[in-house]
Amino acid sequence: MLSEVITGSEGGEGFVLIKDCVQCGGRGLLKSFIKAALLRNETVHVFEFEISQEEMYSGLTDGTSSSLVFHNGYTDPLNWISNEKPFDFSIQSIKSQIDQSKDKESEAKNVILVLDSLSWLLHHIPITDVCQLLQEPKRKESTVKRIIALMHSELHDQGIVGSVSHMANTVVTLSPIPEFTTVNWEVDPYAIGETVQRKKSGKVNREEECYTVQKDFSLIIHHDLHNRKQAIPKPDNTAQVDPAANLTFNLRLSEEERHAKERLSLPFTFSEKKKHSILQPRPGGGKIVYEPDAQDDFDEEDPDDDLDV
Amino acid sequence: MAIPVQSMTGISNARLNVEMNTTSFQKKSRSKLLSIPGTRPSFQNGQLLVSTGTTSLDYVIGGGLAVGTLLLIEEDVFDSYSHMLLKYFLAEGIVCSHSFLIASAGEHPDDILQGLPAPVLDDVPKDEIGKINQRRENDVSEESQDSMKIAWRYQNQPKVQTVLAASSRFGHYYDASKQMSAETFESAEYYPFYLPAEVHLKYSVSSNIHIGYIKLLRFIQGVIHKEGFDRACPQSKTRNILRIGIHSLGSVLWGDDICCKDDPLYAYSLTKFLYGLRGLLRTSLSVCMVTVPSHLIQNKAIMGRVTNLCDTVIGIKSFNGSEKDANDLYKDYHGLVCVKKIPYLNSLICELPDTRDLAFKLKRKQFTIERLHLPPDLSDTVSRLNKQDLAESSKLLRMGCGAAATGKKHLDF
Repeated sequence: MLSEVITGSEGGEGFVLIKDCVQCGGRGLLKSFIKAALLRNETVHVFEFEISQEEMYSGLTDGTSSSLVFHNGYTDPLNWISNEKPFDFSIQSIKSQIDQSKDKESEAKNVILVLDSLSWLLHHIPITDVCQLLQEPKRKESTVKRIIALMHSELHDQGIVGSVSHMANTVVTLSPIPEFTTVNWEVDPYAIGETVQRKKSGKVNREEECYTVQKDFSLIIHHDLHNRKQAIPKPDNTAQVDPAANLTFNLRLSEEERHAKERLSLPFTFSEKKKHSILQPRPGGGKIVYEPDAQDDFDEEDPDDDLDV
Repeated sequence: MAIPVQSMTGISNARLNVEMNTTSFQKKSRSKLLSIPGTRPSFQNGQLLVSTGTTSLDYVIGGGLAVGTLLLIEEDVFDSYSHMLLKYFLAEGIVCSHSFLIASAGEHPDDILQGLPAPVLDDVPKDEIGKINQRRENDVSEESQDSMKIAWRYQNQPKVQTVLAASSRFGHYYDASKQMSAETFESAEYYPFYLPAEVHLKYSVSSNIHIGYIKLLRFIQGVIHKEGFDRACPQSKTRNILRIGIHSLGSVLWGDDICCKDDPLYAYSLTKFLYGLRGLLRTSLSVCMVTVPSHLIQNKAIMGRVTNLCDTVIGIKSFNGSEKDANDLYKDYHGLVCVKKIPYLNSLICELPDTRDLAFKLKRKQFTIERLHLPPDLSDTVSRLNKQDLAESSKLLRMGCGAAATGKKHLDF
């Protein structure tokens, strides 16, 4: 499912959140999102706070980068080195920066907004404002049709992570490959990505996949994870011996014997009529009302504990 | 344990006796109550009820939603089913030609309006009920064919009926797969409240209550006073019910931080809003449904206060993607419904549901709440799942006769 989200074939619009952790960073995956968007010839605005422009561009800029707009929040975000205008983190400024470059191109094109990373923004501006920005793709008049954001989930409180995830249409949660795997991979997988996608109809899809990001930022999905889970053998019940196989006495009835058995009336079986009269609720029929007494000795434990029913 | 529920009929009688006529005998009429389409008086206490749009939910909360009260839905994690309940609530308003107000901070109210489910106006449910009855009869006849031989005293025991339904029909059924046609809702009186359009980005807080909440309260107040939903000033024109649906109240988009922090800056902001809202509802001909993402609210004390301030509280837990999905017990259902609070209206006791184990399922056509009913477990080691060692020790024994008795049909004892 991960590759469908990247290519955008399966409801990739809206807000896509990548949650990574210390053991496995999500920037490779983020870059493959960007690469796929560039190949589709879409305009991508990257707001970068964690790595330099060169690092971000490496591997991405082979002639296609004309539609990649880089907003530098990394080199000097707080205006410590130069005297230029400091980077403005507010939502209005992010929006206006997108709009400015759009005017330059004078195209009514839809824009993909990449936030690397959201953690940085969340530390600098209130979460209510961030969520307003993340709400942008849902607005009809907005040009931003898709937001892809990377979040380092360990850096935030559970509540903030929950609130941001609640807003996302698709959440990709990365977790490291467990050590004990014995499967022989062709290429070592990088991490497990759990994709949870919420459709507009309210349907929720969930899938876990192992993936590796290649040098050209294409994705290899290892399907072995799924197989490995299935491969766990289930306890076999078929091996039980038929206890009625070799008996020294007769357990089967012949047809005659069965008739004889059915004709025999057992003690305490009543005729249809008597049964009927007992089953009919009688008007004078009493009800048993039991009020527990102080001296009553109730066993706390289930008295029928040893019964196998 | 079981408290008698049917003892509150005295209230309505007492109210009727106030207007003493010349004769003591009087036809027990509900003339004092307003007759508004889509409403009916409660059997319990004479309150004017409206349907929530989900017939089984009406049944669970005691017949319907009393006018002037507030229903809180605790959202499920992905907000799919709670959102659906909200839509049913609004769609019911359209079908009964009530006025309605949609307030939202995320999805635009117009989008919510467009996504409302289409009503099933033909008598399909009646057919279904007929089918169920027929099926039941079939069951009975099948049963009588192989009537119980040994445990025959249980023969006349009623079968557990999982479907919750009142005897008389109230409310409509909706087809979630179809959308309501535009001409159906265009005629309805509709007041949208979209927070980003009302407050521009910069949220502020005044007197410890978030500006979004204040704006919404003022908006609701304005609608109630201007459009004549006020109960205090009787007007000559025909009265109508105002349905208010508020989506995802308390989420980050309302500018509130109770979902993010354990000790939010203004912990009483939401509670203050609910106080105000309740006051407005009580004095007007309106009902309100609010959904709250309670699973995100970090401080459980806040949720307690919110529950306290609402009249009816229903919690929704969906199995969507959780491990409960795999459990056999839940395989027919899509989630659990928890009735957390039922109002005490003009009475000392409330209508108690006969069971608290409720589950819901969404069939193609409708959302239904049912009693969670355990089917008879016919597998071999039912009660031994958590007593593995016991099972092991008794295995030898059961090899002798127990195992043979359960499965093999060709043995006759």
